[in-house]
Amino acid sequence: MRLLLTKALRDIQRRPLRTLLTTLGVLLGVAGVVAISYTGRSLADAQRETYANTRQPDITAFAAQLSPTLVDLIGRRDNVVAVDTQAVQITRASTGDRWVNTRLVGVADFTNMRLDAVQLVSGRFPGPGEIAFDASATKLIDVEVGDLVALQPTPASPINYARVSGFVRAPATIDASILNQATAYMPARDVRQILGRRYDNYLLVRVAEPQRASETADQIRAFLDKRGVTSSNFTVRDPNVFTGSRELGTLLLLLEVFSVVGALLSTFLVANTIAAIMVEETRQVGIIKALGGTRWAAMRPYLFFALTIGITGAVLGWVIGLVGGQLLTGYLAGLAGLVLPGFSPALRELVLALLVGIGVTLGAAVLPAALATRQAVAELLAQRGVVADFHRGITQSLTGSLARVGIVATMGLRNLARRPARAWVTLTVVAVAVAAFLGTQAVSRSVTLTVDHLYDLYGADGWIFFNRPVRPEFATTLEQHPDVRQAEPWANATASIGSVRTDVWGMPRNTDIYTPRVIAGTWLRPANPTGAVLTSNLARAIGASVGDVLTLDIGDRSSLVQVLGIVDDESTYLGAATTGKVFLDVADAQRIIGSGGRATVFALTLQSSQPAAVDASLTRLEERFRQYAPVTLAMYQDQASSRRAIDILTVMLNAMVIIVSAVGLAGIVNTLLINLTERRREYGILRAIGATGRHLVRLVMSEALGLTAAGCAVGVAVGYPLARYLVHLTGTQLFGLEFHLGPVTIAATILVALIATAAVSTAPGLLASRIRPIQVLRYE
Amino acid sequence: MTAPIIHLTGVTKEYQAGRRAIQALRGVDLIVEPGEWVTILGPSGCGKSTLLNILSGIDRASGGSVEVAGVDLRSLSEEELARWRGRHVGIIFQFFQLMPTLTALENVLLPMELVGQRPQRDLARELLERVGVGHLADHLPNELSGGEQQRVAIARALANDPPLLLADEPTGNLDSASGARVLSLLAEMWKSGKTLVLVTHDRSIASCGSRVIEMRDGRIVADRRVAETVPHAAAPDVAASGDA
Ligand SMILES: Nc1ncnc2c1ncn2[C@@H]1O[C@H](COP(=O)(O)OP(=O)(O)O)[C@@H](O)[C@H]1O
Ligand SMILES: [Mg+2]
Repeated sequence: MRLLLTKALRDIQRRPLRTLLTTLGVLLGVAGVVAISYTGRSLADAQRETYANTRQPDITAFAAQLSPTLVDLIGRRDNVVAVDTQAVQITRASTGDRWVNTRLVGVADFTNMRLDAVQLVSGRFPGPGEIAFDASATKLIDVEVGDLVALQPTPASPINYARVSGFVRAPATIDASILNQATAYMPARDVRQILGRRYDNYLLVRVAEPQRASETADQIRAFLDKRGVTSSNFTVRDPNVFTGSRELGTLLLLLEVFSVVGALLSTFLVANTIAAIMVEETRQVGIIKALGGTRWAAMRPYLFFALTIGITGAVLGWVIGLVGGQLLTGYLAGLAGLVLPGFSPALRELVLALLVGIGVTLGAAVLPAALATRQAVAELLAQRGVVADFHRGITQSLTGSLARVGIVATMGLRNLARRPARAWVTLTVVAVAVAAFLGTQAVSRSVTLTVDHLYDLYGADGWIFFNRPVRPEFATTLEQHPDVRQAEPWANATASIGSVRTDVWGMPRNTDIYTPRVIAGTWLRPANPTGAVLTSNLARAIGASVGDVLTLDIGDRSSLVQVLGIVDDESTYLGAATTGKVFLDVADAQRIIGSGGRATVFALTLQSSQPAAVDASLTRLEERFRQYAPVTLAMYQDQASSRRAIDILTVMLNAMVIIVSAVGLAGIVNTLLINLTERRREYGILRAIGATGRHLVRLVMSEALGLTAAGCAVGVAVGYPLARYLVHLTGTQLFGLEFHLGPVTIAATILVALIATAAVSTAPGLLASRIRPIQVLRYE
Repeated sequence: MTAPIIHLTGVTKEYQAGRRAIQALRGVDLIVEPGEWVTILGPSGCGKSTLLNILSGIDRASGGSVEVAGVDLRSLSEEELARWRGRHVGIIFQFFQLMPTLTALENVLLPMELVGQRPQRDLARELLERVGVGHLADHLPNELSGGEQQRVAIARALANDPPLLLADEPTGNLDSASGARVLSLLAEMWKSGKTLVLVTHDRSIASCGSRVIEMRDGRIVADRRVAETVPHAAAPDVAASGDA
C-alpha cells in the first residue's frame, strides 16, 4: 500500500501540469454539481424560512372597509390563526428627477407585525410623516436616509411628502429593479389619510392548514359579501409557487443539465490522462507482470493515481461548489426577496462530491488501465511507447492535397489520427462544450426574441391615462395631434377568477393596435353574456375552454363573462403576480370596471417609435392635454424592464457556459500536453533540421484547431437538437417560446471556439518549442 | 585560399551527470576547408557525437570558439541557430529520424518549408531520384527498409542545398550492403562539392574520404590526409542487395 501511494505521488510529480489540469477538470465538474445541488436545497430552505420567519400570509385580499370588529370576526373563523391588515396604495415616488412606481404599505406597528414582517436593514422604522424603502428600491430611485420624498399617485392628485427614516427588507418581494416598482412603508395612519379612508384596505390571513387555504379564502369572501364589504383580488399562497419560483425553477433545471454536462466532460478528461499514462508506462506494466505481478497488481498504481486525483478534485470541488452555491443562493434569494438562509453544508453535497469525483475518475480510469494491462508480457516489453502509425487511407487522402499548402500544418492534422481514441475523446469534449454553448445561446436568444415578439403583438408606442374623465371619442381629438398616428380607447384593471389573479384589457373589438393570435374559438364579437377572450396560459391555469362562463371579480364587482376564444399571448414575466390576460371589448370593460362609460386610457401609435422621439411626443401630449391630468407610459420602457428580468437568466446561463467551456479547453490542453510528451523526439528532430519555435507552435496549434474544427462540426450537429430540447424545456417551465438559433450565432460560436483553442494551444506550443534537439538525440 | 568552413579552437564540453562532471571534449582545434571529407573515428564515448552536435549548433560548447560557415555559433540564440541550421547544414542521423506521418516526398519538402521557401516538389522528386528512391516518394517511412529510409534522410539533408553535410554513424543501423550504398551516395554528394563530416566507430569506413581524424577521450589524437579512396559500389553484395 505504501509503495502504491509512493508511485501515485511520483506520477503526480512527474506530470505536474497534466495532473493539475486533470484535477482542475474534476474540480470544476464536482463544483458545478455541488453548487447546483446546494443552491436548489438552499432556495427551498430560503423559501421555507421566509414563510416561517416573516410570517407570510396564506391569503391576501383587498377589501373596502376592514374595521377592527370585522378583523376580529375573521380571526375567529375556522382554520384562521392570524389576521392582519395594511393600508396599501399603488402610487409614485420621487426625490426630484423622475417618478418611480411605488407600492406604499401602511403598517400599524412595525415592531409588532403579525404577518409579512419586514426586517430593518438600516436607519429606523418610520414614525409619523416618515417613510422607509425596501433596500432594493435604491436601484430605481436615488434616495438616502433623511431625504424628503414626494408621493403622488397620478399627476393631477395632490402631492404628499415624507422623510426617509431607513431601509427595510420587504419579505418575498421581487427586486425593485426587475419589477420596476419600489416598495415603501409608512405608518398605517399616514397611508389611510392619503387614501382618504377610515380603515385599512388590505387583508392578510394566515391559516393553520395551508391545504385548506382556498376553501378558507372562499369562506372569508362569502363572509365579507354578507357583511356588505366588497373584496377583490383574493390570492392564496401556493407554498410551491412563490413569486419568481417558476423562473428560479427553470434556471435550476437548466443549470442541472449543465452540471451533468460538466461532470461528463471531467470523465473524458480523466480517461484521456490515464490512457496516456498507460501508454507511456507500457513497459513498466510489462516489467511488473514479468516480475510475477498479476494484472490487478499492474493496474492498481494507476487506479490509485486516479483515486488521488478524484479525491483531491472532489474535496476542493466540494468546497468551491459550496462557496459558489452560497453566492448563487444569495444572488437569487436577493432577487426573489427571500430570506437568505445561513450557510448550511449538508452531508448530501459531500456525498455527491465524492460520488462524482471518485466515480468519474475511477470509472474513467478502469477502461484504459484494464486494456493496457491485458496484453502479454512480451508484447508489453516490446513497445517503444511512441506510436508512429497513423491511419493512412482516409487521413492521407484528406490531408494529401493540404500538404501542398503547408507541411507543418499537415503534420499537425495527421498527428490527430495517430491516437484515434484520444482524438475522439477530445473531439467529444469539444463537441459537448460547443453543443452546450449553442444550447444556452438558443435559450437566451429564444427567450429574448419571444419577449420582443410578444411586444410586437402590441403595436402601441405608448399609453396615455387621464385622471379627469374623457369620453372614448376623445381618441379623435388625440389623433388630431401631429405626433399621434392612431389612438384607441382602452381599459385596464386587475381581476380575479376564483383565486387566480389576472389582468383585464379592454380594447375596441376591431383594434388595429393589438394583433390577436387566435388559437381557439374567435376574437371578440358581440355576445350574451359578455364575450371575453383569454390567453392560453390563463385558460390552462383555470381550466377554461371556449364556451365556458366565468365569474370575473374586478374591485367590488362580479360579472359573468363567456369565453369566446383563446389567444396565444403568454407575456407573463419574472415576478408577475398575475396569470395571463382577459380581453374584453372596451365598452364591456368600462361597464364591468364601473367607469361609467368614460375612458381612462388610450393606446397610441406615434409618428416615430424611436425611444427619444416617443419620450418627446409623450411629453408634448402631457403638456397639450394638461387639463385632463394625463400620465403617459412608453412601451419601450415596459419592454426594457421585461428584458432585465430575462437578462438574469442569460447571465446565469452564460456563467455555466464559461465553466463548461473551461473544462472543454482544459480537455484540449490536456490532450496537447499528452501528445507533447509522446512526441518530444519528433519535435526535437524538427528543431535539429531547422524548425523555429514558431513552426512548433504552428504545428501544435494546427493539431488543436483541427480537433476543435471537427469538434465544432459534431457539436453543431448535436447542439441543434439539444438547443431545441432546452428551449422546449424552458418553454414548458416559463412560457411558450419561439425557437431561435441563427447561422450567425452558430458561426460566432465556432469562431469563438477556434480563437479560444488557438489561444490556449500556444502554451503547449511554447513548451514544444522549448525542447532542444540535444535532449532527444542524447538517447541515440 | 578560401576561408575554412569549420574553424574550432580550444573547444571544450563539460556535462553534468548528477554531481559528477564529465569532460566530453577537452580542447579540440580543428580547421576544415570547403570540399573536404572528414571522417571522425574513435571508440564509443570518446566525444565524436558531442563534437558533431557542436558543429551543427544542436549542442553548445562550454569553452573555445566555434565558427561554422563563417558564423560564430556561440553568439547565436536557439532560434537563430535553428534558422541557420535549416540553410547551412544537412544532418543525417543514425536512426534516420524521418517524420513518421509524412511521406518520403513530404519529408524532403519539409526543410524547404522550414526555411520559408515555397516547397519545390520537382526538386524534391529529383533528390529522391538521385538517392535512388524516386519510386517510393509516396510511401510512409514505416513502409520503407532502413537503407531506404536513410536515403530519404540524405535527400532531406540536401533539400536546401546546404554547403555542409554532417552524418553521425549514418550506417550504424544498417546492414553492410545498405551501408555501402549510403556511403557511396554520400561520396557522390561530396564529389558534387559538399563538405562532409562523417562520424563512425567502424574502422572499415575510415578508408573513405580525404581526411581521417581519430579521437580518444575528448581529444583529437591523430589527423591525417588519405589518398582519396571513394567507396564504390564494387562490392558484390551491394549489387546483390537489389538497391537500384
Ligand atoms: N547530455 C549528456 N550528459 C552527460 N553526459 C553526456 C551527455 N552527452 C554525452 N555525454 C558523455 O560524454 C561522453 C562523449 O559522448 P559522445 O559524444 O556521445 O560519444 P561518442 O559519440 O563518441 O560515442 C560520453 O562519456 C557520454 O557519456
Ligand atoms: Mg555517438
